[in-house]
Amino acid sequence: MSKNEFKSYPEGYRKLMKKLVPWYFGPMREKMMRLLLTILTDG
Amino acid sequence: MKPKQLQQSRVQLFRDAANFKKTDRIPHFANVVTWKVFDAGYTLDQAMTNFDVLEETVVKFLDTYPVDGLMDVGIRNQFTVTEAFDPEGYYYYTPDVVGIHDHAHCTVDTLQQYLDDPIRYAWEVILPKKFGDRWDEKGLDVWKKTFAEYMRYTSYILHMSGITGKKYGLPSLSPNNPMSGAIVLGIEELFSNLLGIQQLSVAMRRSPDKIEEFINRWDAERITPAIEKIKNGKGPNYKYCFDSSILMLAHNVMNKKQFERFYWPHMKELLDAYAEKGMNIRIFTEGSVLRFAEYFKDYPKGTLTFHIEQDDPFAFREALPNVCIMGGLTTDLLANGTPEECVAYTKRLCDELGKDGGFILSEGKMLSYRNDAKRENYKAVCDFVSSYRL
Amino acid sequence: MIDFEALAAAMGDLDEDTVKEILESVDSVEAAGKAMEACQKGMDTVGKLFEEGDYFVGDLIYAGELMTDAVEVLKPYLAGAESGGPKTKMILCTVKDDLHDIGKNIVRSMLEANGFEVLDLGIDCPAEKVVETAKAEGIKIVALSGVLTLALDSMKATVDAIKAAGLECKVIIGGAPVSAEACKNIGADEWAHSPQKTVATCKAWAE
Repeated sequence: MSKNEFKSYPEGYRKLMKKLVPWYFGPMREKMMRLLLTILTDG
Repeated sequence: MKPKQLQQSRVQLFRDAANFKKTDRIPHFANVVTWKVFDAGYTLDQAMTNFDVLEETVVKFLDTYPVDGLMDVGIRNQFTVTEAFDPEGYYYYTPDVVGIHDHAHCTVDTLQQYLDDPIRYAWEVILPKKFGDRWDEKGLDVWKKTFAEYMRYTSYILHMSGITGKKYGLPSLSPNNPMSGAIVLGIEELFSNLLGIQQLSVAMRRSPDKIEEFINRWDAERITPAIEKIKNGKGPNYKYCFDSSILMLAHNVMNKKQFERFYWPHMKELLDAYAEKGMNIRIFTEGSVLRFAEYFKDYPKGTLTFHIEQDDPFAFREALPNVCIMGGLTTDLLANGTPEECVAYTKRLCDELGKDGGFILSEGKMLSYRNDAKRENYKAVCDFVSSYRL
Repeated sequence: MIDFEALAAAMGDLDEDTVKEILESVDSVEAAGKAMEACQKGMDTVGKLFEEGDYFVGDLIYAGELMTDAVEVLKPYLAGAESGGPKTKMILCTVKDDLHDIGKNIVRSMLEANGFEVLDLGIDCPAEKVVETAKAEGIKIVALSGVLTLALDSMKATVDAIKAAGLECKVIIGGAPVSAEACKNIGADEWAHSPQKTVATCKAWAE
């Protein structure tokens, strides 16, 4: 059984984003997630 | 001089040098990455996962070596973030080595899919591929831990830019950073991230149309808007030493025909936009660019600064007298020479390349490993160039 | 009738479609041997065009792929049949602490195209492994590759280990950080930035 409840896109991804970055909205939240993904994908 | 004034005077010094104005001394931009960790008495595995140690290595470096700019303040490799996400890691450590296992993100056939939605692609393709079965285990707890590290990392960046700027008066090199959107040409993205050297080399031969299609779309979506912004902007930004920094690495695998097809038209459009606005751009290169000198020879002085790696700086000046050179110091000399030899060569660089501007001293290769330079050599060079008056 | 001249020319032109088309018509051990020679001749042309500046690194990578594919096609015919006399065995690796393999792989395909049997010890290869293999296989030529400046230390350690083991090997070092100065410090016999020089040096040593 997968523990990763955020696997789907965009639903799971957005759900995770709201949980991780609750204090920002809109573009800033997305920017922060984007940079995190860049780090995790060695970009 | 107070740090703030020092910072401003250094911005001016870099800008004047880049603009071929006579300066009273040659600026020194330290292309130093992880060498400073060893120099501070640590090993890489001790430093790369500990922000306190990283900060100490930067501070010790700046206290010891009087430089005008520093390539990396310990933020280049975000090890703690990736480690928090996946302790099995895709980095490998020994006391002297940290590295990254390379992954190409796309194949030639998935490039358009990537462009359709890069985030979706990262989510559905890159990350699952990278972490394999472990991707299924990444629950909220792991993400929270990773995000906390990511926040620590961003605070460290802010903290260090405060220290380097407010305490040591080091300037910011250029406004490009990941948050504000660095400008990367499509071909460079293919080379460094999406396809990698092997696949790109083969694809330029086997599927050139697909490469071209990708680059055209990438540029339409990313470079054209950036160019519009440059054209409609106010021109030079004197808060920074350079108005922009871009990477030039992918030319290292290309023959001239390929360069003309996949690289130059796109780069030219960008460089022309900067030139028209009187802005200056720093091009960080690896390998040799002299093979392609002819393409850059008509830009006015003050537009281009090349951070060169393997090209001989004197040959470079001869081939491109209109381009400011950043570089000149070799690891061969810094690692194997004597302090006297290092100073003599540095003096020659300053005298021959910089007396009328157009030269910024730097290390061609990033100083990364313990034996990339002898401490006494590096110290001698830094002391010399900071006090040498032209 | 297979046109081996056309095959050599196509390989030199990096014309994959023609190379594949001609190789498809190979149907005997004898034809496979000649096709192999033609491909090797084509690789010589690739090397020359690289030296003259018409081709660059990406073309060598692509040529390496074409050559690997060609060997794959010809292998069933060539297996068991000795062609071109005994080959000189040599060691090639990327040295310890360095994981770069593209340069090494280019050099391997060029060396193989020039008749060497290359024992590719891979990347991040410790000095001991080079010494053990050289002893076990009676190797006289060792080529060490690296991209990081750190590789220079590992090259030196490898050369020292070879000398300490009393092996009479010629060593050539290659890759971005090497230079005449580095070669002297490391104690290697020769250095190269281009695969062509590596091949020419190894050929001279093999004679």
